[in-house]
Amino acid sequence: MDIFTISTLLATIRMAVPISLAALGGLFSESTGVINIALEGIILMGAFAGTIITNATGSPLLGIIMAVVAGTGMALIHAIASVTFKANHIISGVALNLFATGVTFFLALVLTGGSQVSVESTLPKFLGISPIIFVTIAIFFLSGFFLYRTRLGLRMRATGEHMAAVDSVGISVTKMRYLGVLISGALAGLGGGYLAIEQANFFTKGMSAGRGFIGLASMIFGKWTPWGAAGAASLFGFSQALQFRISIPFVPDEFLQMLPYLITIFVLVGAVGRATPPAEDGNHFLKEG
Amino acid sequence: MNSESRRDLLFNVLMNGAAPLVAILIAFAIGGIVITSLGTNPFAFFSRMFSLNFGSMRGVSQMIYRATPYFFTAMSLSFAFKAGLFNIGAEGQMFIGGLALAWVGFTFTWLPFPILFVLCLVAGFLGGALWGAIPGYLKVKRGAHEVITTIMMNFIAIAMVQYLVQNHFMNPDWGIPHTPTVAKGAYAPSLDKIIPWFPTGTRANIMFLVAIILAGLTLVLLRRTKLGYEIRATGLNPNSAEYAGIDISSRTVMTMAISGGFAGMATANFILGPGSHYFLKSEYGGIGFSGIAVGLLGRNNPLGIILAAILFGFLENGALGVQLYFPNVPRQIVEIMQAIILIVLVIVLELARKFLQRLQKRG
Repeated sequence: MDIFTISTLLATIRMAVPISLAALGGLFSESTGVINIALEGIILMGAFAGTIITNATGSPLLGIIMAVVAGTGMALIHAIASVTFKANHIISGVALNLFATGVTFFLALVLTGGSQVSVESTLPKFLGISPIIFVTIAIFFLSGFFLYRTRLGLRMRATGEHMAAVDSVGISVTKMRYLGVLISGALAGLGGGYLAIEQANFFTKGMSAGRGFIGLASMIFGKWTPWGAAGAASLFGFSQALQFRISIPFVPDEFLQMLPYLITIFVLVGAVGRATPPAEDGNHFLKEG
Repeated sequence: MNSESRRDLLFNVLMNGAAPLVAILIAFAIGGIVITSLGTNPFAFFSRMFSLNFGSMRGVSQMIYRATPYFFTAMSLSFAFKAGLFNIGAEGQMFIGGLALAWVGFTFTWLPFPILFVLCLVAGFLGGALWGAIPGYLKVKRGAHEVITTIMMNFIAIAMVQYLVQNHFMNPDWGIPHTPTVAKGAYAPSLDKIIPWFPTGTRANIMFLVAIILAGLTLVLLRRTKLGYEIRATGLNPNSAEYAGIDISSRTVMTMAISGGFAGMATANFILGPGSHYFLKSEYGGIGFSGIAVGLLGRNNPLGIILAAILFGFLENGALGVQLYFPNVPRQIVEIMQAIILIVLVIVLELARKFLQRLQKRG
């Protein structure tokens, strides 16, 4: 059985794009100390907004842009709840995931009459590859530079490590956290837009199928670094690509479907202990006085 | 009344009474706006929903039937919370427990009621408990955060259940894969056989009472036993609990197992109660996730959870019935409202907490 072929490699990259964008999003959010499990719902929202706008305007580019906008909008709610109102980050994320599931299904029915909507046009391919893949690679280079080499990026990461210190030198913790969460929403929204418009060519209810959570696992596996996250996301992309490529005798399809989720658990079990999350992950900033 | 108990009362009224109510009202208001935008009168919509639920005893019992599974999944969330654990895996635990209890029901068909019925419940509990204990074990042994592992376990459970039903327990009668029907000995008696106010043929069944009894037992366990004390101590401060000699690892695994067990019994309402009597995966999707909202809305308190579960039963039963009258409003409107309740609730709770703190500072 030949699974290590160019086409598997390309499929792996295609599958890895939404996961790696979610992973990078999680990284931006957690670098400022905000846990964002709403990434799952944000991908779904991006996929839905991208599909609807692409079909309404005939422009997949506008669709992708709206996916980013929708993702950022969802992230804004998460930031308001968990940064401004200091709600538990996980509860806010769960609420947003429920919201995205309900709202996308509801609007799909209201706007199109069905729960599955096909995408009518896609971006022009470059060498047979979606341009979003190149955009994603560029985003990773830029993010690595931004988080480790620029003043703003370093300030964001400092916020995740020690909020009080950041505050004491006159940097707004709230602003840094909003920035981190909004960027995470934009990235996961882009991932969702790509998923529906470029990869699947349709939107269907619940199509994010755990990619946001797998993205978070990639981030952890990648030890909260952009390239580590990209590597881990590729591993998950590979396991998803395999699903469509192989059928092993006596191994039911359902077991292959479980593979990404099983790998995620193995990764968490193996990786934690060797990697440390940002020190302020999940904490609230409570100013004295 | 001294100032401290007055403050406690105010805390209770604001955090456990006013905050959930405000969240519910805002969700109804937003739902109303959406319904208006679809060209339907929201007052007509909601009052129809109200009369479908409360207009007759049949409506009430139908509402209770819909509310019962949420009661179980919400208790699952709340129990884990007591030990400071966030079990988002009720969905998967519910599927595994549901298939386990159906399997007992259609396998040991010669057993009479109530033996088979009770065995089914035990199987459901154990199935869910196993699925909950695994993330608990991974947390204490390897430090894997339960939020991500329980979510992954949900996906694995869904694929696993699908595999088992299609390949091993398939009832070939008709289309959508489902299991054979459970034996009569496993049937959960409907509530009209126990409480005469319920109309005959009601689908509300003894599982609602089982849920209430379990909630009572849980309270006793948490408040009156050593195990319960240790679970709560682990939740309040794991470090000091460990210092006090509590084996927090075993308490964590046990809490996750009990929490999963509650979720594992959620589908007994559908499988053992009046109705189809088989396991049909597609019928139960989302009950585990909504249980998170119900548990939080009920403020992790048994009475609150009953009320919150009934609200969700109200919304769901109402949404199913109201479609006949307002077909242009998809019933998923209630899913949006449920999510809005949760988002608004977390914000309102923090506002109330801030207000109370300010009050306390002033003395």
